Amino acid sequence: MNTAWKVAGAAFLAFSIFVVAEAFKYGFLDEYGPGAGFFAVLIGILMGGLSLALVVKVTFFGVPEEKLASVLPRGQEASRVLLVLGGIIGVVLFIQPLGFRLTMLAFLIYMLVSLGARRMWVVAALSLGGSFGTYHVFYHWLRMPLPIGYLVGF
Amino acid sequence: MEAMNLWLGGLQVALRPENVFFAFIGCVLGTWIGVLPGIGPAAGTAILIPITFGLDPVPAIMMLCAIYYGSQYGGTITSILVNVPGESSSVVTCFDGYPMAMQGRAGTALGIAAIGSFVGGTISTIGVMIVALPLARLALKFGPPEIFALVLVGFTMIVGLTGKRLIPALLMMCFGLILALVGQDPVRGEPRFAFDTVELYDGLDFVPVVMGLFGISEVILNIEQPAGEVIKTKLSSLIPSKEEWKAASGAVARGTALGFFMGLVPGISSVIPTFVSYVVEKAVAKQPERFGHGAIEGVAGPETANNAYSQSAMIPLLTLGLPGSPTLAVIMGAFLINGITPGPLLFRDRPDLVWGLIASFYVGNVILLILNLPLVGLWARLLEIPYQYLYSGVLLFCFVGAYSVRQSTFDLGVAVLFGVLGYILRKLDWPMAPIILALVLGPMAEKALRTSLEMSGGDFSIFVSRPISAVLLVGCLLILVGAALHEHLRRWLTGHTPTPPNAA
Repeated sequence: MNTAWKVAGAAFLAFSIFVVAEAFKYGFLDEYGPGAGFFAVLIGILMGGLSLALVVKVTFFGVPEEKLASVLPRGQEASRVLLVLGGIIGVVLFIQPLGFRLTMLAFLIYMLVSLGARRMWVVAALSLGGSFGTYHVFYHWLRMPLPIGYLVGF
Repeated sequence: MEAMNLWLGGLQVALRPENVFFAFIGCVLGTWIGVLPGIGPAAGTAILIPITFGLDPVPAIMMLCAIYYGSQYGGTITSILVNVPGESSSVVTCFDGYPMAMQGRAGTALGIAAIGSFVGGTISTIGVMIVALPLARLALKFGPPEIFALVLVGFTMIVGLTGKRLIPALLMMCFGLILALVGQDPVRGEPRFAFDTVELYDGLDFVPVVMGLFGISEVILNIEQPAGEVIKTKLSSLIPSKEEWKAASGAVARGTALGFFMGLVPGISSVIPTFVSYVVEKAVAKQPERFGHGAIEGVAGPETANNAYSQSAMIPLLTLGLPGSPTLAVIMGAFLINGITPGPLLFRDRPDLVWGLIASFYVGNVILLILNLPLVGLWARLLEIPYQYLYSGVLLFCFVGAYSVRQSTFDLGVAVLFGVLGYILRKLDWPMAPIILALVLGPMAEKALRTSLEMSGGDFSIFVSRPISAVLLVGCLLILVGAALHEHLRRWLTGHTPTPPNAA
C-alpha cells in the first residue's frame, strides 16, 4: 500500500507539472487582470505541493491506518475485474456501429453468464428486457435518443 | 407569515398530480437504494439522474430529492433485519435494532423507526420554512468576494467530509478543480485544456464523471469481491406497545432537535447526528445497560436524527448553493443540469420551484411512512436479488446516463475512464467526494476570484476588508479546527457505543 500511495502521489505530481506548464500558455496576468490560466496555475502549484508532501509523508511515515493489503487484485479477483472491464470497453467500442439494443443485448448476456447466472431463460429475458426494453422506454417514452447503429441499422 | 404564504403556494405546486407521482417514484427508488447494501445514496442518486432528463425541472428535482431522503428510510430496514446497514447513516441502528429483531420485535423496531423518521422529517421541514427565507435574503447581499469566501467555506468542508485522509482529500479537491477548468474560460471565453478536441470545448460534463466515479467503480469493486449468499429475512407486527411508545417519544423529540441543527452545518456527515443521538439517549436513560440489547430508544433516536438531518441539510444547498455532502453535491449537479442554480437568487427567480420543493418534503414524508410500514416485507425481499443481475442492471443505467447527456460516445468513454479511476481511488482508500464538490463549485470559485481581483486591481486584501467575506474566512478557520477535532470526537463517540452484535 505504501508503494501504491507513492506511485499515485508521483503521478499527480507529474500531472500538476503538466497542468502548470499548459496553464501558462493561456496567460497568467495581463493588463486586464487575471488571465485564463491564472486559476489553473495556482491550483496546479497547490496540487504539486500536496503531491510532493504526500510522497514525502508516505516515504517517512507510511500510510495512516492501512486497511487494504494490496491495490492490485490477484487471481480470481483480477479475472472478475478484467471481465467487467472487457465488457465495459466493448460497449464503448461497439455502441455506435451496432446500436444500443444489440450492444446492450450482447453485453448483458456476456455479463450475466460470466458472473455465474445459469438459468438461460432468465438470462435471455433480462437481456432482452434490459436492452430492447430500456431502448423503448428511453427512446419512445422519455424522448431520449439512443444510438441506432450505422453498420446494422438496428 | 410571508414564509407561510409562500409555503402554501409551494404546497399547491407539490400537490399537483404529476409532482406527487414523481415524488412517489423518487421515494420508491430511494428506499430501494437505501435497502441495497453496496450502493450508497450518492451513487444511487447519480445513477438515477438520467431518468429525470425528459421531465420538467420541478418534478425532476422533487424526484431526486425524494430519492435522497428516501434512501435514509431504506437503510434502516437491512440494519434491523439482517444487521447489515444499507448505508452509512444506518450503522447505529444495528446496535439495538438487530437485537430487537432477534427478540422477535423486528416489526416494532421498523415501526418506531418509520414513525420517528416521519416526525423528525416533518418537524425539520417546518424549520426549513422558518430559516430558509432570512438566510436567502442575507445571501443576496453577497458580492464576488463574499461568494469566493463562501465557496472557500465549501472547500474547507471537504476536510470535514474526509476525516483522516487530509492530504489525499485536498489533492482530490485540486484534481476536481482542474477538471472543472476544462472547456471555455468563463470570463474571457477562451478554450482551455481542450487539446483541439471538439467534445472538450464544452468541458467535462458532470453526469459521466459521477456515473464513472460512483456507479461504474462501485460495480467493479463489488464484482471483484462479491457478497456471499443471498440474504433471507423474517418479520413480525409493526405496532409498538404503549410502554414502548412512551419510552420512544422522548428519543424522537431529542433526535429531531439534534438532527435539525446538525443539518444546518455544512460538512457534518450524516453519520454524526446518529452517533450523537445514540450517546445522548444512553446518557439520559434510567437503565443505560439496556443499550446494545434491544433498547427501543437506541433505534428511535438515531433514526429520527438521521431524517431530521436529511431535510435541514437542504438549507445550505438551497439558500447558499453549498452542498453539505456528496449526495447533495450530486443533487446540486442535477439542479445545474436542469438550468437551475441553487442559491439566494433561486428564492427570488423560482419561488415555485424552491417552495414547491420544500412543501414536497411533507408529501415525501407521508409517502415514505406509507411505503415503509405496510410494504416493509417487500423491501426486505430485494435483498434476495443475486448480485449478477443487480450490477448488470446498474451498469446498464450508467451507460444510458452517461450517453444521454449529450448523445455522445465520448461521454461514455469519459464515464468508463472515471470508473477505472474511481476503482483505483477506492482501492487506495482516497475519498472521491472532494472531486465532485470541486467539479461543481470550481467554476463559481474561479469566476468570483477573478472578478474580485479585477474589482480590487489585483489586491487580495479585498477578501478581508469586507465584513461578510472576513467573517466567512474566519468560518473557514473554524471548520478546519473542527475537522481536526472531528476525529477525536468520533473516537470518543464510538468509545461510548457497544460492539455491534454478530449476525445469526
